Amino acid sequence: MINGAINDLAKARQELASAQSLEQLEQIRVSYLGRKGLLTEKLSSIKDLPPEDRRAAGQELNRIKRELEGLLESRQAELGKDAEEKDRQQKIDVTLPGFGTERGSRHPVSIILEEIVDIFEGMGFSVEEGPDAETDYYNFTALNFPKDHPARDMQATFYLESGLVLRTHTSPVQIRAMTKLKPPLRVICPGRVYRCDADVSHSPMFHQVEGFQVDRHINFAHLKGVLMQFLKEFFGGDIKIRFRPSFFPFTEPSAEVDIGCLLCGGKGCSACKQSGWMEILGSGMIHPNVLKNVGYDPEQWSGFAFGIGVDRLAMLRYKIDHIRLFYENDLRFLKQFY
Amino acid sequence: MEILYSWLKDYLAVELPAQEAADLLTNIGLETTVAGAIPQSALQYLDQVVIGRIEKIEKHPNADKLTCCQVRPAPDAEPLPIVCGAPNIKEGDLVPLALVGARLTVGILKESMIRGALSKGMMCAPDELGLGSDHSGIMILPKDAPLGKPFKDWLLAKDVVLTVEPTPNRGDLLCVLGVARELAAATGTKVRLPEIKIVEEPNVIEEKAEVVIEDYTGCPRYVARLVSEIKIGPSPEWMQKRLEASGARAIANVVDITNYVMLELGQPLHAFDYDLLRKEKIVVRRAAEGEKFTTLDGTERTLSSEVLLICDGAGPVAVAGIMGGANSEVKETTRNILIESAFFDPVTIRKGARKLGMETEASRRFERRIDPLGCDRAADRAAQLMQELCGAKVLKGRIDAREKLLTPAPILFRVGQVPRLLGFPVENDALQEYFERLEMKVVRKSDQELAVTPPGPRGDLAAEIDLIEEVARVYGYEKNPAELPEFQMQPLHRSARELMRKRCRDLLSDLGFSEVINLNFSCDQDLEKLQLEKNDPRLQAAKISNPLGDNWSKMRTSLIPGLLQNLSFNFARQQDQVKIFEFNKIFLSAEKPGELLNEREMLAGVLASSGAKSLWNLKCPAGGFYEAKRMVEQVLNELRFSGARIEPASDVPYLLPGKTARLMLGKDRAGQVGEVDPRVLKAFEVDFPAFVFEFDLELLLKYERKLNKAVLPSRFPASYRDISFLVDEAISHSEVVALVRGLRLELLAETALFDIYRGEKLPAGKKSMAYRIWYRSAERTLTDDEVNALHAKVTTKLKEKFGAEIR
Repeated sequence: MINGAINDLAKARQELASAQSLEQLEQIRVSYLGRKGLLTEKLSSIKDLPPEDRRAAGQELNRIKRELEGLLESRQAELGKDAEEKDRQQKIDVTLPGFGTERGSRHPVSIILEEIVDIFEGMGFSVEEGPDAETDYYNFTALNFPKDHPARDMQATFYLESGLVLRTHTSPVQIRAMTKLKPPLRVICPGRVYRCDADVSHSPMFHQVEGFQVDRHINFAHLKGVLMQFLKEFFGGDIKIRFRPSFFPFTEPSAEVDIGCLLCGGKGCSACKQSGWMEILGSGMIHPNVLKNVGYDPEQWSGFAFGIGVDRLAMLRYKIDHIRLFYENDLRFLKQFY
Repeated sequence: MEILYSWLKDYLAVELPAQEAADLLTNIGLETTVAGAIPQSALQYLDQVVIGRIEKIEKHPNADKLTCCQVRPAPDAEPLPIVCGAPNIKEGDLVPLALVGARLTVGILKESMIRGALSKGMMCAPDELGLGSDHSGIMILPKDAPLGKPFKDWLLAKDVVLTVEPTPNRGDLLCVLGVARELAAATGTKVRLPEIKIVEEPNVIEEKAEVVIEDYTGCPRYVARLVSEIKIGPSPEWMQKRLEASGARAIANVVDITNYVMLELGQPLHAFDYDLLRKEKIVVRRAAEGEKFTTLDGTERTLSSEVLLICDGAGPVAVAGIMGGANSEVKETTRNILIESAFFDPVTIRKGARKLGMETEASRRFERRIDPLGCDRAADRAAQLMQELCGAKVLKGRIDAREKLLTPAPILFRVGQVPRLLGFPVENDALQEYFERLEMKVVRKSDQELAVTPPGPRGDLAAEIDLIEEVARVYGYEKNPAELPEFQMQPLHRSARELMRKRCRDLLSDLGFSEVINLNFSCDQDLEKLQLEKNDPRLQAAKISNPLGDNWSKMRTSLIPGLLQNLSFNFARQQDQVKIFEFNKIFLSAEKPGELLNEREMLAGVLASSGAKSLWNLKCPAGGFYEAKRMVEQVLNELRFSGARIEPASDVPYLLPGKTARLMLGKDRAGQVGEVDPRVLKAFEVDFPAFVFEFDLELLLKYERKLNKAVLPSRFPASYRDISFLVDEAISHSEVVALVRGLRLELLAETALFDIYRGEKLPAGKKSMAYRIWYRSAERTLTDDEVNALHAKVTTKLKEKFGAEIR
């Protein structure tokens, strides 16, 4: 019996040496050490030996079993290493496209809007919003547009049958915010606005950011300072900026702000009508009548206000020459922006 | 308004190139462009370019498309041989001729042999001279261009048209003299007024005419002049040129003169054929309601009391300040003329013009307020020109009907307001100089106060703040200092709305959705396509009175039509996967009449695949519904709405009833998700299944959530038991979860679905569901017996409640 076991061991040793895979190794293990394996059977037949021989046989057989287990283990390690090495050397086509969800995109106007808001929030302005369908009072009267005055023609207005108007600018939020809050104030009002107008650079709905600051000592120099800071932040520090007088009923003095043409660098081209400048925003000192309309004493408080055309900035930033692209929602166009 | 620059120069005491004048005007507040102005950048290219004349054109011996020309560079010089390829030249043409050595946009010009022919110069197209991008042919100059003179000098001296765009408060800038005044203020010079000289007849106007103003509000002043024995004919060429440059068609001398004076002085005039007036009388009154009158454009108009009329004692002869009448129009046969030079109230004219739906050059000026002090001068100017140009005799004197003269009142100006509002001080002497440059009268009341009286044309100056702007303007906005304001720091308050919008936008775009923005307009047809019930509030969309088109006639009450249109638009452009979302408002009816609309901000998305191309990355394992639902879950998760319920629903008209779920927050319905009804899709021309999700942001905001307390993970391992059972098809996943949760087992950690099986091997109407249920304690490792006891409760309950057959 012991000799048989020794033979088994020798045979197993040979088999192990020639085994080439972990699967073969497992077969070998089963054939010797499995439930019906050669060694297992021999071990279980110890009980058939005379009692005085059992102990020695048991010890011998167990030694052989341990040795076989050791052999198995070391061969397993060897073969495992080979298999691991083989796995490590496996090749895939790394040029196949990555798998999973493709990213989506943000609308270019909403990206620019957020950028503008972020810059002003960084300067301590907070956001207020208001309704799109406004009353004549907030959109015009409170903003010092006299009734039956040509100034009302400056902004082609959509009227609802109920008598409301689609706000032509975000300035009515200025009135709502000033009425709701107490000075000192630094507020921006982003939102959608509407004008009865459609061509290459006009969409009947577009986006504006109104901003204003009211405090005890605000003057025109501050208006210039804040807007120059914003424009430098948005367009980069070397942008050329020009302030020139203009007219808005709700500000005085009023200023139109131009930047040096981004396309020709100021030499003059068709985009800037040979002037070298591009109109970028309207601004001014809040008119005393507007302050009075919200119950602020214009002798105590002063402020500036400005309105930025978001779509226009987006067109300049991305060099887009037709506003239609923003509202057509062609994914081939939109997917570039994030 | 367009103005010939040579006309403007008549009133200037300073010599300026057109572009510089335009820049000065723009910088002082009058936006001005020059048509045909020379770009600054072109000046470097114009040296050694002269005006040459083409003497002879012959075919090039070796090239079909080239010609050999003889071009004379000066009257007494020999012609130069020049090879040219342009098709638009002919013998005798005057052209810009670049001489050898000239610097052009294409480089320095050299003498050269072109296909065997000598060329000693070049005739230029605009782009070669830096004058734009036109390369269609050689610039052909007018016949009167001086041969041999430097092209640059001629170009700079050439008459150009200025386009000025006055803001609506500056009616005074709608005339040449007004623009000249502005330029004079910018340069610190004085304008040169036209000299008015009239030789008057001995007989006086009062013997021949009378003016009665019945409505002084509408017509505070009416000046009349009478001229006789006029000869109607064409006006002189210089006047026609000026009028045409300003867009006024030259007709005949009298009409041209009235237009000319209006453009020159800003006072609209009207010339009546005196002999056609039925009585020798002018009466200014309101029209009667429904009164009829034919204006000189031949249109019969029905008037109302908002319209001011000029009558002749028998009936109307003109609509005041808007248009004359056909019955008193000046014709070839006209001999005697009554000149009207009146000041009409801006609001009256605006209301009248609106009522009649008319806008004329005259009404535009009256609406913006003309100079009430200038009526007499304008009448004289017209009379003078009629005398000089039409041989007319001018009756002595003028009628000047008025209650009182609208003389501008002085404005109190506090010097201290300049630094307060502009941020820099200005000396009193300088202030006075600025005001005087603008033709204002200044009286110094003290060191601190000035009394400033604006000139007649400046109706926009009425308050101190108006004068502050004038100071800033004349001082120069560019020179005004810039400074950042100081303020008390405060924590920045970001609104919940702003944050929610931002988080959802970022989330959805990260998850593969593209943001779109649609116009907030809609129309009945769009809403009909949604199959809404008759009483659906979304059908009560607010109507726009003046829409830009029929399909933009109403405000949006749902984001879905716009998104489905985007879907169809993009499928038509071969996009095979469309995942889009939009944040926008919908506009529902006001809760009470007279209130603002119920504007609700919505977040909606749609996803669909045409499956046209089965690309690597487009294999969506779950059905579209679950992908859409996943987006809803992701948004809810992002916003921490752990208590939100997504329940079956069948009440969304445009979604399939069996494939719709509603989103419930507490008792509020905050949104829905589902598959779009194919009939709706068909109406929007979409041929593939599409899935939508919608959130009402106003309701999400009501349930705003934050992570208030972090949960600490248990230090002990969890145990699980798998359970698989057969139930009726009708039992939903959420019912199973609710049942397990309903047991309120303290140690239950999670109920996770891992399989649903339906198949032929199962009894009809049954499905097999498999869950892994996790148990965990925070204090100890659970024993097998404990877990088994807990799990047995789940098993029992499933059998009991759903008749589940445990497998």
